[in-house]
Amino acid sequence: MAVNREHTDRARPLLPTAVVGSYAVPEWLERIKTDYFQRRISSETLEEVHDVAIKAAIKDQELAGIDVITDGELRRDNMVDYFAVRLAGVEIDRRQKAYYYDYYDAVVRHPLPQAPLRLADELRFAQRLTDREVKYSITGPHTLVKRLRDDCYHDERAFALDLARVLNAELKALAAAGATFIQIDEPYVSGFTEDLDWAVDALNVLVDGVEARIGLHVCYGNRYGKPSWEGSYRFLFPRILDAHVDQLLLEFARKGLDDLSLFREYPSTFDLGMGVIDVKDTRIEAPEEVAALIRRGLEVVPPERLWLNPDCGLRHLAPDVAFGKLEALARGAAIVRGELGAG
Amino acid sequence: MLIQVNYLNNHQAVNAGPLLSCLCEEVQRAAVDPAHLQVHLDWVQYRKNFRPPVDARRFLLPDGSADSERELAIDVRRQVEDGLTEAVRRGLAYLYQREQAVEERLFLEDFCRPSQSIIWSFNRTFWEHLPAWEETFQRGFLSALPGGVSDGTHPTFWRDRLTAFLELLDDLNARGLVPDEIYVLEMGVGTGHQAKVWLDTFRELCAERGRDYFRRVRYLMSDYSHEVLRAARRTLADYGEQVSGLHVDAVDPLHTLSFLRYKILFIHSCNLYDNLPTDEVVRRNGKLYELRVRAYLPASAVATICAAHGLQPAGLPTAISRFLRIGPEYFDDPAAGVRFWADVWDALRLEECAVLVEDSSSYRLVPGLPGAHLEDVLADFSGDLRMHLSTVALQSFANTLPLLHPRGMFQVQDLFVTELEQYRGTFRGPGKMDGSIVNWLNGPLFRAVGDHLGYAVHFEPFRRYREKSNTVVLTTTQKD
Repeated sequence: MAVNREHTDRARPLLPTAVVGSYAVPEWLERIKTDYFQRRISSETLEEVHDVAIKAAIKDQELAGIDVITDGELRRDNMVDYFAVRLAGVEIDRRQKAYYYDYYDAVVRHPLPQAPLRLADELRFAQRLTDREVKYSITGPHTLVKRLRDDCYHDERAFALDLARVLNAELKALAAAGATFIQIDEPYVSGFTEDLDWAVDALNVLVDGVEARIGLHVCYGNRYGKPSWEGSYRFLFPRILDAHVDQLLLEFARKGLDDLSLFREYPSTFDLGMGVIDVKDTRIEAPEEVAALIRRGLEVVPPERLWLNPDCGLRHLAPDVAFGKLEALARGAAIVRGELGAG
Repeated sequence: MLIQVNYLNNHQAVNAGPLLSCLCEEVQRAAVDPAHLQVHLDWVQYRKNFRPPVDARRFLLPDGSADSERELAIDVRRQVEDGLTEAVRRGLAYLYQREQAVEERLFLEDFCRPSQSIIWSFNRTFWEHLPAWEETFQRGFLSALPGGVSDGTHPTFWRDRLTAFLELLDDLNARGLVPDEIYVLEMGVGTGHQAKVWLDTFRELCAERGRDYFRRVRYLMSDYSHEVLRAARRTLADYGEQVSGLHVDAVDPLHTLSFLRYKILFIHSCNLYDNLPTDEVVRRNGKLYELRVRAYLPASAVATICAAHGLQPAGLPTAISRFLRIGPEYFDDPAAGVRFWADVWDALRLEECAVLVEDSSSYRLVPGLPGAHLEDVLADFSGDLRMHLSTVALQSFANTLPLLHPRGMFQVQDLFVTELEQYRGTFRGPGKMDGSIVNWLNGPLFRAVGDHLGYAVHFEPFRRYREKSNTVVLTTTQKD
């Protein structure tokens, strides 16, 4: 594996807490974003709003006590379009949307050229605002292939490998800009389990030579705050053991803990980013509940390899609920750290 | 004076000439300013309903003082009844001189939102004491439906739907994603015959195609009436423990069934939502008003009911409220109780007024559901409008979607208006069906709520299966 963990890992507490990516998108921000797509406000105004909202999101994560944070992905309309508009060679014929969260009809008609997406600017903006470690997440090739219309490759595997080639350069640029933790989001693989083989191949091309901690997030979807599929993570194993990643981030709070046994059944070197906060339920968990889940995680993964996070992004929760859940996460982790003598 | 003709879609042959002459004469006689007077000519298709032939409606500001708008609503179906001229005269006097209507009324409640009205207590009583009603009148409730048949048991319809369901299961099965137990939820179970058709048809389809899905089906019948559930269970006795009956409040199925969040693969209902409490709004000259109602009995009906059931007029409100709490057993002879109930129900009317909504921009489609605003639905519709909010049905819909498996099917057979324009041409309720209430459902609001929650809502007329059916089938799919 090309990843140099010694180089990228910083001093973190035992059982580090992190967000998966997105933070709560308030109702007013949804309205403003939609106003932009209906040409009622300018892109400059929208960017100013985004800057302010990101500052607030970062402050919230700090106040809640999260160790590894993100910018809340508040500039992103959804997990696909943000990358689609930046990928050279992806064509979007109609840029207007009725609702900001809708997907563009984006199509690839010619082989993708190698061109920068300039994601590092977004990373640097967040890094300037905090002294916490900032994680950067991107949508993986499998999920992009499932969402982008392919009028060129006519082969999902070939399309994914080429996307991975283009995005690999971008990941290297992010690492060069100081990214220490890059997360690849691949929710669609849960619904298209038959694609896992080539999804892993594309993932390995994507992260090849990227000098940062690499996480892979596989969930059952969070579109509109609900799952897109239901099932078991068993489909991931053993093929996922070939993935060149440092950490697997999986959801357990909503789905239940049955799949934890897979980590005992298939010994690996992965860290586990364990989802201990249900992002599809507005009820705020008690720290003791979170601690109980963490203890179950420790039955299959040693403490130095266990990270704690929500099941998925928090974008569909109200800001006060999202904040409360992050506080519960941090407090739950603190309880167990105390039990381990690492408080 | 603006005269809105609301019956042309179905009843063009109405001779409105005498009515219009009467109206013009009375407006002239009353010497009122017609500029802010709207007259609605409706055809109230429900033989039993809550409206007098001529209904005068005030528009009020939030502090209770009069706004400038005024409205008379006339049921042209009953224009030939005696006393039309007198009723129009009384209505105008009520609207312009702030007098109480000359006709005496026994009010059973203060003005309230329609969904909070006592009429819904009668409706609930009907379902809770359905056997007593059916026994007294010697007819099943289905006989009140147009054609006396429910579209919920149409065999061809169900074969088509369940074939699609089976194909969905096959698709999931190819990815190893079919759960061990296949949960099916029916909301509002009626006689149980819809469940029987579902199970019979699905069993046949599975046998024909050699699938083992049927064995894994767990069919959940949910209803708020124990009586209805008991009767439905009898219909389904052959299916034993594969069928469960659950006492569930239709407003919030998630509350009872939260352990099945995102796990139910097929959810369906038929003629449930049209029987749930609803509010109404009126948009007039760009301003939004909420409807308020108060239930009453006309004085003539009070006299008749009291004479027939040996009651004193002063004791009638108490007798009604006790009956609603206890049921027909409040009377020594329950059959007499049912007849009292039916007489009161037949005579029951609603007085209406409309109250200005001050902050219409923040008016939510479903309480507690941020981001889904009425204003967004009305934005593309110009002009005046009165429409249902489908209040409880929308709450039920929003609280049922989280139970649906991500790839599951959700189907509602009911009376849906699919475009707001349809509110302009035809009366959409409330009407009385035996002892229950029927209102059409505001499809565009379901579309907006579904859209907001990540579901595309589709409507398809049932006429493909039964030519004269008014039923519309709502289905949902997850939005991309």
